[in-house]
Amino acid sequence: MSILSRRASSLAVNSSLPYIYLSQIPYAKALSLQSHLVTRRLKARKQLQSPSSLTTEENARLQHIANTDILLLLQHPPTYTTGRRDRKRAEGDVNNVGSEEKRLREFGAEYFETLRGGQTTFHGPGQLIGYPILNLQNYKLSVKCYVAAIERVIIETCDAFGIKAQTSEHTGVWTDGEKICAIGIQVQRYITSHGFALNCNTDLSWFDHIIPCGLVDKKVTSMTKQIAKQQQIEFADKETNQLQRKKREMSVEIVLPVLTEKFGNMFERSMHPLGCFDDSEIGLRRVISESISK
Amino acid sequence: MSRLIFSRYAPAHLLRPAPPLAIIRLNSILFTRSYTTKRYTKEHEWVNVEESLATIGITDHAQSSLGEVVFVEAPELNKKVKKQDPIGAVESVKAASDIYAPVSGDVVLVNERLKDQPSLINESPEDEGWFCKIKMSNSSEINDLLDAEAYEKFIDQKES
Repeated sequence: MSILSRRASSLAVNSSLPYIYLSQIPYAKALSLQSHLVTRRLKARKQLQSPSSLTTEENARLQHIANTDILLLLQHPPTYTTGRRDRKRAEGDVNNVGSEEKRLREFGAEYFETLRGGQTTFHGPGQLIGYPILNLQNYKLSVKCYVAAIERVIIETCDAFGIKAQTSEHTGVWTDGEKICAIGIQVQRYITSHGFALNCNTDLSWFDHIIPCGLVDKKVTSMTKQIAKQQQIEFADKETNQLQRKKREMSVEIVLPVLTEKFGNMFERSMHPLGCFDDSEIGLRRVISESISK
Repeated sequence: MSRLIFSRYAPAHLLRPAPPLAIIRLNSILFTRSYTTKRYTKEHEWVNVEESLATIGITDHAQSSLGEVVFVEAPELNKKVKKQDPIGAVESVKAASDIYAPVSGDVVLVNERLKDQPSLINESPEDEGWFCKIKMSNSSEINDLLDAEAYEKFIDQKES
């Protein structure tokens, strides 16, 4: 199922969308990578506003930079982050600077204040993070439709593994009243950054130390936990040996290809690993590997 | 199907009862009077200039595309801003969208009501939901912005 009208897709700049799976990278590096990718595009767009001073090659190169969307997929080491409205530093809330940070760091996690929407959340191993760097104009999407589209991608991914998930009035994706995927986005001149965090087999005890997304009475779940719950019901009446009951671990690597496919369907793009499609993407690939190796 | 999915985001103005006819007329008169000094950006900010004081906000089109606004990050008072600098953000549906200064100058006033009532941006984007006021350092910058007609055209192009 796709969110785009036939008309919009026929106008699409590019019908293929590159993605890259970066495995586990520290939050700070992912932050600077995203900022680099967004700034690079905005800068190229600005330069294109005075095309007379550009050679044909420069023009083509800048067009490519300005128009290339990418889906970054990765995991983080244990990290707590806050959204834009909870930034103590920016608020000049001197008394509170660092107290929450200190508390959470004591659990052995990193801590970052970010410019995304949404409130406090946790990222860690076993959680599939997606940071789509897209120009919403390429998809003729409003901000709220973009967020709804991301929610659909997650719901369909969960569905592929037999997990029934849905949206709620609180944004994000929920199953049995518990949150399975958090969403937090930043939009700068139509370019998106930050994104979604889907709990595949995340250690959920990390969430005990925070009020995820500011919702006091809501719990967090993972795909592994949901599947275990379903198996319990399934095997409740039967005599089954331990082997059959073996917990099915939904690792990030299992979910990744399904999510990528659902993302492509939703945004009407054929997905390909970055750099494998054409040579022009090698530049982007280099930018990414330089950014994260620094 | 997609209509079904997104129907929970009905634009705020559809959910409110229509104002009496007399008010509509009054509004349209006011709108016509300020028409000559009102300008727009491609990032969907509006600017209303009286002498060198520019009142800034986000357009009705922008608020309906964002959905319910839950938080507004205003610029610091007296901050010097350059045209196109990011000066704050509006947050809706877990998405923080940056706001840019349409003109250069000093931020002389911010709309304090938005702190407790961010939904003013949905209810009255081009009036009570104004964002901040900038004392312009270069009044001619207003000429680089779009007039109402050009802005309408820009939106139409974007959507078709």
